[in-house]
Amino acid sequence: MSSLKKYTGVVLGVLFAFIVQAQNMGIETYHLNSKSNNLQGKMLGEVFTLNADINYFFLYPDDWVAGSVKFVNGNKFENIRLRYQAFDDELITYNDNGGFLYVVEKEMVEWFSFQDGSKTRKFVRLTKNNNQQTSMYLEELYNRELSLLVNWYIYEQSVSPYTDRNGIKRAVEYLMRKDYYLYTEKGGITKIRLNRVALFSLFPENKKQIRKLLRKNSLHINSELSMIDALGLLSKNKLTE
Amino acid sequence: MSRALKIVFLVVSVWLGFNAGAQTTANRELVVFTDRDYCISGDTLWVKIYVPNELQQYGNIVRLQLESQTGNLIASRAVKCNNTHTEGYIAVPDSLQTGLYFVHAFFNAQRNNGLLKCIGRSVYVYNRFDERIDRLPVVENKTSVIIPESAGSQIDINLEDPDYHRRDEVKGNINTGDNEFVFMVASARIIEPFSHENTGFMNFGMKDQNVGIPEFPEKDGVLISGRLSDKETGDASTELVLLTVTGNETYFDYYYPDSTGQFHFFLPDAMGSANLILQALAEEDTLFDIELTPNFMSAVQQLKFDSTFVNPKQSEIIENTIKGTFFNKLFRGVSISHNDAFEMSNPYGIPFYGIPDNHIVPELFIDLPSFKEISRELLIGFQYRERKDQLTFRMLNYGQDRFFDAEPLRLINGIPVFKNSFFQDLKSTDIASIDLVKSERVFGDLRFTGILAVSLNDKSNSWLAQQPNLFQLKVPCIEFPKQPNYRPNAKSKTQPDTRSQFLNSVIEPAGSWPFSFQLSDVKGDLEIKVEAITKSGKLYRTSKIISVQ
Repeated sequence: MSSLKKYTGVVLGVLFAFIVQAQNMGIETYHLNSKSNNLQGKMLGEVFTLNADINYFFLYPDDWVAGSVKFVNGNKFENIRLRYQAFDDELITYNDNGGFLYVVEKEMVEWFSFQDGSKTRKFVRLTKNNNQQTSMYLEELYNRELSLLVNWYIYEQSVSPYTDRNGIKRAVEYLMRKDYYLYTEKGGITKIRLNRVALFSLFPENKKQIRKLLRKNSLHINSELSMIDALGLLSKNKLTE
Repeated sequence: MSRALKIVFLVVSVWLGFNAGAQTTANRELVVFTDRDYCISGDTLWVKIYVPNELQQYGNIVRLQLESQTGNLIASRAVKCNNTHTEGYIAVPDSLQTGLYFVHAFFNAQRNNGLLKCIGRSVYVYNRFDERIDRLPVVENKTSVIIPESAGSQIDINLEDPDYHRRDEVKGNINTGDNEFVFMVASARIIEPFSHENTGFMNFGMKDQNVGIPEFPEKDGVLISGRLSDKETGDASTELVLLTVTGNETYFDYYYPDSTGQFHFFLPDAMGSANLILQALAEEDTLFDIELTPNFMSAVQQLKFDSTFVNPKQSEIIENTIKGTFFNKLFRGVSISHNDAFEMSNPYGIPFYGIPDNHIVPELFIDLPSFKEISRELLIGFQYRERKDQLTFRMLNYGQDRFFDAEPLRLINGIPVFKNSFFQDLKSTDIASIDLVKSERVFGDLRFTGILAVSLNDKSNSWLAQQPNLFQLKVPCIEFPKQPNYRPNAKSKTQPDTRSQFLNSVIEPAGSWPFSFQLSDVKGDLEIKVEAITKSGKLYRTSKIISVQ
């Protein structure tokens, strides 16, 4: 046996023994270093296995980006690599020290943000007051006493069978859609469409003034930007109370 | 511009710059006020600390210390401050020798600020068993002593009567005129002449006695530091250290020590006396030692001391004071009772291993005689394997539809356990609940291949003694707020009243502040004193001394 093989055998043997030891402890400690010691608090989550489908269809943005996560207990984690898994509405981050991906414990997250090109996207976690108290991540487009939020989601649609670029036969397509919500601390979240009727139904007592204000400012609500402008105007004229 | 003008301009600029610098320094010091100039060993010394706005970036936990003239840490407290100040106490040890001691304070985040400064206080401690005190140490270098300026023109202390006798009610008010004060403390006590003359505010330059503690801003929590070493060789060890804090809710954390073996944990919202369980995670045959590092900043190294004679009159007053304190304790009891109360909420709101997939309460099922039976009957997705005297546990990995290849993290009452034999004899009547987590969980950089968390009915954790490399320590965290009781005892009419302190309150820097208190049986000079500090850190004092007959 060559000496290289001998040394490789010894190294593998030692590593195997170490792994077995660590496994008996029930704690994996392979890659710990001084950076693992975050005195302020630790991230909580569940190890995530990335497959080609998830990587290709469900994750946003297209690559891992640096971002921040703030927990409801005030702990803030900065400059961590993350992506939003829009299909299951989960935040996935990459642990540099351990070299693994994990789903961040949703109940702990207050918000997370990341840089998407030149734009900083901030997602907040809100609880929908349905029977199940569903927690969902929503992108915050406008935040004053009234917030405009958007729920990115991916849904599955059956299509005629086709072969994808990897040569795999498929009969479904994954499409991304956005639902818009208005949020007030008092009223919780309300699903809306991007038009002026949404504002009328939210503030029926101010319907006349809102209509007048939008007309006066020649504001036609049909996009995210125009809705943000409209909310700004409403806030400025104290019509959101 | 002529040369002379240039020089004048330069000198003025330098002078202005120096002044501004001096003011900034003064602004950035904690200022300690004590309710007395002396204590008898076993007494409780009450302290108020002024916290300038500029220091609030360092967190909100102030470390309060009592240091001996030889530089030994006698007592230490972590107290939480509000916007302007904090209050705390130091229980002076009963066995403390007679001598000069120093009270000072700092924020942990200040520890690496070069020379850290603090305006502290010197106090004398008289050991209650000393029969005659004829010599006492004094500070030799008076440059460290701060003599407050007179605030007579800004603060008036008015009393209703000119003369007072024992047990009289003293009534009056403190009026403040135009002033720049930001913090004021009013106090009243019977003077003990020697300490009154030889104690006061002192300018301390503090030095770090435990290099390695990080300058971590303690906000609503305390930093605990220690060192892990090999028990046989004493060398620093770098094995992973696990912390469990037991209480109503169990807190878990880990630290990977540096090459010096130092580890640090931050305990958020930990109030009272914490029961820490520290474990070194390593091979079973290596034994470790864990030693906690006191968070101590020494202030006396710059000081020089001399000793001076105590004249017979002063000695007699000290002797009477010691006797008075003895009677005070006899009839009033100890003002501060030490208890083991501890409160710490779970900072994560959920267990550190996440929300369990199964929560089993064995009480709801028939009684099972062993953990083997419990696992077979009640723990779905959990394998209990016994092969050739080897006991192994395996947890189902839901996501992958197969069992993990490694042991799950096993917890008993929230404390990690590394021997499966601990579970073997557990009956269902011993167990309050069992949590199962059937996924690979992440906590910081640690990964757990499933979790088995058993909560026992018996929370005494007596089984811990059988676990190697496990250290159980009682550690003081943030002090529960307490207030001194200067009032007379309800039964004091028929009992001797030997109180010497009557008042110690923070007062508003503007307006009139009425006060009243009842004197005790102690005769002597009563001093009603107001100490104040301006925004620029200048100390002022005014006092009224009346003779109690």
